[in-house]
Parts: sequence; structure tokens; C-alpha cells
Amino acid sequence: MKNIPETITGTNICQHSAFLRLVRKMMLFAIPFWALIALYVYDDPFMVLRKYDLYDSDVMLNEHHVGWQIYKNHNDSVHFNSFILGNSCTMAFRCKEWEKYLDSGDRAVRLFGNSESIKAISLKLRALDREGAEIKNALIILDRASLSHFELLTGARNMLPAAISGRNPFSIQLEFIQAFATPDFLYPYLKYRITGNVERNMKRMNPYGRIRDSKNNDAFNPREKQIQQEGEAYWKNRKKEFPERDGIVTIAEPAIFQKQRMVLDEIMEVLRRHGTSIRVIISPDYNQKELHPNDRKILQNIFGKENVYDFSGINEFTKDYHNYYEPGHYRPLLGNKLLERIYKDQ
Amino acid sequence: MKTTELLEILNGIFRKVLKREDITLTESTTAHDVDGWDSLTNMILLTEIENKFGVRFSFREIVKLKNVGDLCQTIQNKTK
Amino acid sequence: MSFISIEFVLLFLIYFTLYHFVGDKGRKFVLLAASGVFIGYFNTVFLFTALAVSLFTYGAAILIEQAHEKKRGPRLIYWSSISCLILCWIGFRYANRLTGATGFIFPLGMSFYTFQAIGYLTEVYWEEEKAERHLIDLLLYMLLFMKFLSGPIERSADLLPQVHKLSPASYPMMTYGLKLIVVGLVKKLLLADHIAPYIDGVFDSMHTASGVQLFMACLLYPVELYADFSGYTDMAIGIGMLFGLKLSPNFAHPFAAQTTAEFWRRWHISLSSWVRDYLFLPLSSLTRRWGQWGVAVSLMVTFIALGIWHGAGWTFAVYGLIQGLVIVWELRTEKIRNKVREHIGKRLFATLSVIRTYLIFAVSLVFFKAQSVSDAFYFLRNISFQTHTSWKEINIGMSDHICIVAGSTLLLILLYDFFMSKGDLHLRFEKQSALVRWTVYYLIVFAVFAYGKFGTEDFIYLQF
Repeated sequence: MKNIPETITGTNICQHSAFLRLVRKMMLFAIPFWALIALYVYDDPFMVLRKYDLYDSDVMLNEHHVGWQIYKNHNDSVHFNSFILGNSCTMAFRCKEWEKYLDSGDRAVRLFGNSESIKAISLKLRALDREGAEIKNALIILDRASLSHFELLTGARNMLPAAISGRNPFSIQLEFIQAFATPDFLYPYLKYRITGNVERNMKRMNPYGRIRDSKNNDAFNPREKQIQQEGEAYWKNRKKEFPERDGIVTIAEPAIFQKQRMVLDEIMEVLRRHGTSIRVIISPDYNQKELHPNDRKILQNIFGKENVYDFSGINEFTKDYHNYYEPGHYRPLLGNKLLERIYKDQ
Repeated sequence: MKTTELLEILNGIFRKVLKREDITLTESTTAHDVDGWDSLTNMILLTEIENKFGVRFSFREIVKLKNVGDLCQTIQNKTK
Repeated sequence: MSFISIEFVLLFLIYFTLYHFVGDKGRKFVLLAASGVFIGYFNTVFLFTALAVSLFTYGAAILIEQAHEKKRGPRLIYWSSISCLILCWIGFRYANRLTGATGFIFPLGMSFYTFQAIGYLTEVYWEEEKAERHLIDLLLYMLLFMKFLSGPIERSADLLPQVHKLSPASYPMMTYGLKLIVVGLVKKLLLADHIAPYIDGVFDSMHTASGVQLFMACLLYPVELYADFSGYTDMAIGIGMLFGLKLSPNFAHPFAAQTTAEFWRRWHISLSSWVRDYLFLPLSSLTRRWGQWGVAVSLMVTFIALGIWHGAGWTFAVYGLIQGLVIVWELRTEKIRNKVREHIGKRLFATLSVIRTYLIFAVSLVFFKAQSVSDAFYFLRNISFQTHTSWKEINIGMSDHICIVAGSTLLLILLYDFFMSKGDLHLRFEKQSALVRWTVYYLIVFAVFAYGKFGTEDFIYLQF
């Protein structure tokens, strides 16, 4: 740093010109950034800057945000009092199907998140509570991964909206802009903007068109259509995705420790206050790995023995591969059966 | 004592203390120019020099030393 | 406010523009006002403490100078004012422990400006410097906002003359400053902030972490600290340059050091050279009759003081103690090391020395980072290559994305440091064609924007 150009101790005019030159250069330099920000504001690709009636997009949206907006959009007319919470496997549970088992007039909405953490569920319940919602029924769909996540997931696709997390809305918007600027997203997006086509290999883009119900956030999985078209061949052609199960019982590592427990208690605290009718479902996992008995016991202690339904492991539901889109997700076909099972005793 | 003689003696002390044979001091030499002459060895060098010439530097004199020339000057002033 | 916040950007833009539109006299007031707002924004109490210490220093320096002229008691005034400063600083440091009140906060930047004050008073006492008669100049020396929070700890001989005749920077100086700011941002946002949460995580849960996780956290913490603190310093120096001020460098490629003694000439230079000049030199002069032992004792005292400067508690004292012990040991073993060098060749010896120095520093930083000495010992005792379940634990929880971003940034920073030590990279870069330069600028700015970790604005050295 010895050779740094010396300060010019000349006249005021000279000093002025250095400053103005810098300002000019900076303006010039910033043009591409202004252009990108203008495009972002104009397009609002993540649908987070403005409010919309329909949350359909060619871009993969933040599901927490979309769910919450759908709830807010319709809550005045519908008065939701039943909530489907949990991870993406909530796609197997249709609101209309669930409402059949509830009191007449009860209306459901799905507020899920991809690989949802229990912390997010807790915060969503509290946000509903703050909004003055009545939480009469709750259907919570979990698996081992969700149970183990006691902290919020990060990143533009997984972070919670400010209304739920209570974070500074400004910093959340900043993260969305950042996600927009990430080359992984930006280049495919710019290509899409120019050609108007979503290609299959484009990351974080949605080539399937409408994938959710705009009234209650029910999922429309495009694979359902494929199954109808292909029939049995759907699974035959995807042998790699559906490996043979060996029929031997395997038990997963425990997932619930001190910190997870605290979050589960938080969840129960809100539900208890509302006198909510609770159903906790551990998803039937294609790989037939069973939830650790200790975890099940903890869940039963917290939510009540009669309210926890563990469908993991080897059973009639996991045996039939026709129930699955892929090993990670099962079809409403199976969801309906599970609903029937858990409300059988009523 | 002449500066050249003085430099010769100082050279000897520096070589001995710093254990390096390739040291040749001039009046404009600073600690920066000599490998191993740093704040850690400085006081040991000065103590050797004090013993050799039978002088004693005050701390303020030490602070003011900027190069070997200053050092020679200080020694000459003291041994006059 | 942190350098990486909207508030700071606004403050900077306003005062930077003002600075260029006022006359010679106005500039000082603009800078002082900016500094006042900057400090007061955190807490007005911080501003009052800083002002009080500055005013005290201003008066004490003049009194010392007058006492020198009259040849009456400069020593008494000097020592009593230094004692006041140190007592005041220690008082704030330990206030929490003494009063038991937890709401008490140590004023930001106090360690840094107190040291500047002591240095300045000492120079005046040694009659190396004149006491500053213009209050506003001394206030600027003490409070300049770009160096207020975490240094560099400036010397009065370097900074006061610059403050006397403030003038706007030339265009090349401004762009140089901007580049340094970007370098700082890269270090902070692309490296330090990405890995910090995971290292913190291991330290926070050291009793449940596996041996290999402790090992990785120990290895990585020096990198985090360097990226964080030198990133901050780059920004401070860069901002200084935008205002036409040259602040002192704080880091000079520290991880290339072959000995711990050399390391401390390259790491946090403004602090290490401060303790060298104002503590080690007087001490070693005082004890020089004891020969090697005098040096050793002075070294130990100096480095323990340097450790304690970071904060109350035994951990920092042990951190300093380790540095002192290693340097004394290095002095005693120089002959053996020279023999080893001849035996195994220069190249290999240099490589091994660099690794050894890094590892010693990493181990000493465990004391720096841990909450208590017993925690630090537990941490070090349990470092191993054992895992709980799988080798994947070696990433201490960092995703592949973070590993790639932080890893490639680290590589870039090391390359940058290497080339900077061979000659000024920025000036050589100036000679490239405009197309090359602007492409690189865009790539870097874009990388910071796309991959930077925003949202954590605190720098590690803010707490000291």
C-alpha cells in the first residue's frame, strides 16, 4: 500500500471534479443493476412484492407465503377454522375430503412447507392465533425429517413470511432479491423471459402450470395425470425410483431430543388454548422405515395417545406401491384411506 | 573514535548477537535492512554495545535512535 | 450502525457529498458531525464517554507539555493521567462483574480510542510530539468514524498531520478506496459470515460435538477471524481513502508467517506495534541488564497485556500467555531450528513452519473463543478424528453450497494476499484494459450480491 497515489492538494475545482467523476462512473457502473432491479420489481417473479388473487406462476414460489396469502385472501368470506399443517406430504390430503369428517360448516385450508420444520408449524399456529383465527381442527402431517428440524429452514424458498416469523420484512425482501440475482435462478429466468418457455431442466421454475387450488391451497400433482395416461407402466418404467423393499423391519434413529420437545410443547400450548381437535399423522414411508418408538411415545405424551397416528414401517398402506408418486410422496388415494382410518372411531 | 572504526566494532557485535555473518552496517542502515534485527533482539544488541563502550543509554535516547548513524553519534557523544 | 447497513450507507452518502461541497474549514466539522452521528446512533452514552476521554486527553497533553517547559513535574502529570485513562477503561470493562448488574454495556470502541489516547500522551511526554492545540483536530484523531469501532489504532504522528490539512481525495485514491471496501465485503460476506454460524455452533455445543467437528472448528476459526477482522479493516481503510485519509494497515498476509514472532508483525499490526512501542520497549529497556531473561519477562508481560486488552476474563490472559510463551521458546530454539532448516532444506522447512505457526495460533484461539478456560481445555482435550456417525460430520453442518462458496472465497483471498505481498495488485490491475477491469468488477460485485450472506452485521472485534 506504499504506492497509493497521493492526495491532490490542488484547487477546489480540481477536488470537485474528482468527486463528480466518481459519481458519474458509479452511475454508469450501476446501470445493469438498476436494470435488473427494475425487471424484478416489474415482474415480481416470486409474487412477494404485490398481492394477487391467483398464485399460479411459472416460477417455483415460496409455499409458506402462498399458503398464507391464500388464507388471508379468503378468510374474510370463508372463515377457515381447520388447518392442514406439515410437509409436502400434505398434498395427499384434500381439504374437501377432510371436511367430510368435520362438523358441517368447518372449512379447511392447507398451510404447508416443503420439508417443513416443526418450528415453522409452531410459528404458523401462533400467527393464526394473533390473527384471531379459531383453530378448531388441526391435521398435522409429519415425518422423521420434519420432527428433527427444530430450527427454521433458510433460503428464499423456505423462509417464512414476515407476518408469520416476525422478522424484519425489509430483510426478507432483500433475501428474495438476492435469490433472484443468484445465477442459478437468474440465467434460466432471463432465458425464460426471452423465449417465453419453461424448459424441464430449469431449476426453480415450474413447468406444470397450475399446481394448487386458489381457494384452499389443495395440491394438483401433475403426476396424477401421468398415472392416468400411463397406467401400470407408470411404476414399471420407474423401477429405479421404486426399489424393491426387503420386508425387514428397520427402525429410524431417534429424532426428538430436548430442543425438538420444546418446540412440540409450543405447538401444543396454542392448540390446548384453542381446544383444538388434533390429528397427528406420521406419513406412510415407501421405504418402510419405522419411526423410533421413543419418538412415538413423546408425541403421544404431548398430543394425546388417541391423536397420534403412526403409519411408518411395514403395513397395509406402505405395501402397495400404487399409492405413491415417488418414494417421497403418496397420492390422495392413500390420503383418503388414512383419513378414513383416523376418523373411523368417531 | 572515528565513525568507520565504530562501524567495524558494531559490525562485530551485530554478527555475534544475531548469529549472521553477512551483516555489513553503514550509517544509513536501519533495523529494516538487517535480518534478525527486530524489537526482540534490539535490547540485547544495545546491552552488548553499552558493555563494550562502557556507556549507558537512557530510554529516551533509545527511542530517538532511527538508524546506525544515530547510534554512532550517540556513542561518540558519550565517549568523548 | 454497522458498515454493512442501510443506515450507514445513507450517513456515508450524505457526509461524503457534503465533504466535497464545503470549504477547507468546513470539512473538519463535516467529519466530526459524521462521527458524532455514527457513534451517537448506537447509544448517546457511548458518545459522551468518547467525548469525555478525548477532552481529558486534550487537556492532559497540554498540561504535560507545559510542565516540560517549566521543568516541573511532567512525570507526575503523565503517570496520573495514564492511570486515570486505564482505571476508567478497566472500570467499564469490569463494571458488569463488580456491580453484578447485567444491563451494563462496555462502550463501543473504548479499547481502541483509549489506546490511541495513551499512545498520544506518551509521545507528548517523550517530547516526540507536540501537544495538539486545536481541539477539533484532536477530537477527529480520537473519534473518526471509520476507525472508531475496531481500529486501526492510529498513531498521532500519522493521523494528526493528515487531520491538520484535510483535503478531498484524488480520483485514483477514491477508486482505490472503493476497491478496498469491495475486498472487505468479499471477506466478510462471502467467507466470514458463511462459516461463522457453524463454528459458533460447534463451540456452543462442544460437549456433544464429535472429535472431528471440534478439530475442524479449531482449524477454521482463525480463517473466520481473519476474514471478519481484516475485512472490517479493509473497509475502514477504504472509507478513509474516500475522504483522503490514509489509515494504518492492520494485516500483512499473516498466515504466511513462519514464526509466531513474525505472525505478530503481520496480525493486527496496529495493536501489536502499539504494545511493542509503548509497553515492550520500555519494559525491555528497563530489564535489559538481565539479558535474555529481561526480554523473556518483558515479552510475557506484553503479550498477557495484549490478551487482556480483548476483554475481562482468564481466557484472554491465557490467549496472550500462549503467544508470549511460544515467542520466548522460539527465541531460545533459534539455533536448533536453523540446524533443522539446513538439514531438511529451505522449502520444506518454510512450509512446515507456516503450518506449525498456524496450528499454534489456532489452538490459542480456542481460549480466545471459549467461554471459560475449563471449556477451552475440554475442547482441546477432545479434539480427535473420531466421528459420531459418519465422515460427513467433517463439514460441521455446512451445506455443500456454503463449502463451495466459502472455500473458493478463501482461495481467492489467499491468492490476493499473496500477490499483494509481491507488489500492489490494485495498481497493476489499473494497467489492464477497461473491458477487463469492468468485467472483473461486475463479476465480484455480482458474486457478493448473489452469494453474500447478508443479515448478520456484527463484526467480531466490535466487542473488544
